[in-house]
Amino acid sequence: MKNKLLLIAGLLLLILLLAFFALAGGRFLSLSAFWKPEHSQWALLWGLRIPRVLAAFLVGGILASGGLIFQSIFKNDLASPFTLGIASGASCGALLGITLKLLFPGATALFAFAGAFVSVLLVLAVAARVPHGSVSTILLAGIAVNFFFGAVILFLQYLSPAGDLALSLRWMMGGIDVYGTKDLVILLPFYAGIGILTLLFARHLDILRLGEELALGKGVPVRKTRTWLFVWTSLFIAGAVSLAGPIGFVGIIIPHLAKLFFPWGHRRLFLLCLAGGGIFLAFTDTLARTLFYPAELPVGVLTAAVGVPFFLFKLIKR
Amino acid sequence: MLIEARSLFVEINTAAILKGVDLSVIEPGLLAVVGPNGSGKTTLLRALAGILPSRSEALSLCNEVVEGTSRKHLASLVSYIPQIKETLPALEVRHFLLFSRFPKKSFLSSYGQEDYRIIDETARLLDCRELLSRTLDTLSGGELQRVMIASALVQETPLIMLDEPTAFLDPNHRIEIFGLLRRIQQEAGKTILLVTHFIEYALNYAMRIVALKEGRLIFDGEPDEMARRGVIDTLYDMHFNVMHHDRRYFVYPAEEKR
Repeated sequence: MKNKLLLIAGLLLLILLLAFFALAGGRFLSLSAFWKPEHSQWALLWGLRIPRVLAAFLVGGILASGGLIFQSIFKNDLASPFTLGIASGASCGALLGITLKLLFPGATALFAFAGAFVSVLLVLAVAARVPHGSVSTILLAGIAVNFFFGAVILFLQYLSPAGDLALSLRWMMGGIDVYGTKDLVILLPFYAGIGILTLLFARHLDILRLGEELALGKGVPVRKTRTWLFVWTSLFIAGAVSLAGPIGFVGIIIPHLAKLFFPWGHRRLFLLCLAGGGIFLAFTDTLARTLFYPAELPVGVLTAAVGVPFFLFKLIKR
Repeated sequence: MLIEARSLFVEINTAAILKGVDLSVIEPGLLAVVGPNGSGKTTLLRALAGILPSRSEALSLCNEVVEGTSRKHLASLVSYIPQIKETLPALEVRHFLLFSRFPKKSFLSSYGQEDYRIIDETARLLDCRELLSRTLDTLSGGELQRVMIASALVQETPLIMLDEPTAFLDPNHRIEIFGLLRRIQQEAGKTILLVTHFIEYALNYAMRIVALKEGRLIFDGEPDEMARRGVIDTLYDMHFNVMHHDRRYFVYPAEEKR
């Protein structure tokens, strides 16, 4: 009962915060714009602000819970979709899209998604060839793939004309450049996907944290669980990254922050990541639009600048 | 048939670890697997539990073929407790014991009252209820082993396999753990297979001993027979005095190594 009340209270707080972010980003809108269609700010609020806040929320939630999954399956505090090459694969794809001037709508995102997909395939192909490979095999393969794509990115940027270079640099800074509900519709299945994944596998991950042998003894198919989670999480992350760019910080720090509050129980941790990661990114994105209004900062710059001091403070106070 | 393995082979990175082991267990009991370092004891346990891939003419647990059976279903037949080498996290014992209920749960169901009831009951049986609210990282070696045995019982499997449950324990805790295992074997009718280096304890507590040397079974029988036939000498390439006094065996080396 107490848990349910807490959940409802948390949900209400979440909605209030998101509504506030929608009103506050950039120029402060009037509250009545929410329910008065004849209001002059109605279109701005519902057409631009709310989709953008929601998109930031979804991306943040996907990145944070994806980060938690990676940390848990690799038993490594630094494992994240970004150290494992998915983000650099996506960036590489996006840059290719920009360089090749494929300017049909969504080409960059599509190429980014493909790039992330290729990086996952590469890591898996290497891991599959090492039959007795441990977790660290995948981890090492991922880090190597990350460096490989890093080199390709530099090469592409070296070849690019100045205009494309600026575009690609801007893409890599990350940003929630969402206009209207189209991108939201794309993001929603990814968010739902990672939500379902966390619900199904929270128990597996709890047990896996005790070590492989014990987990096997308790009936967790360790290798299969790991591969499944790696592939699916990577794809959901790829979806988020292809729309918002590599906002790496959220995926590493938010899960750790969650663990400082709840050391155990993946179900609670995931809820915290899905909601907290989302709120965090929605908040920093609002800040990014407001600080130098009417100019806009890339949200990737702000996430780390805002999050790191808070994280270090929590770490010391633990 | 509780355990049946015919001509069991295990290779790890092309090195043959088990070279054709036959083992069948028909009745519940306490079985000890003994042998020198590197003889394949742990490998045998892991292969029997279906954790390690193996090759064999037949391998089944409780009349179910191991190959192709899901990890989760196997865990409802056998509770495998590895040797705990790494430091465990600060997880509450009660919560840890809940993990043993995993094989009984479908993907979406959650742990419930029934699971907590079984945990409490088991803790009472093992006389360790005061440990339930402690965390794993604060337990002593003896306490941790009792919790591990509790976790095997909470899993409610007919078979329990333990890898060196007394490896790091002092003599009084070693006696306690062996006594406890024999008691739960008799009271709950379980089949317990344990790997141990303590040959004396195997002789005094087990009902049947399986001796491995260089990946082959060199003895499979009752403790009395093992003592009588001088198997221990062959096993360790060394002469041992085996004394029987007051219905207990005492084993000590008779000479320096040959």
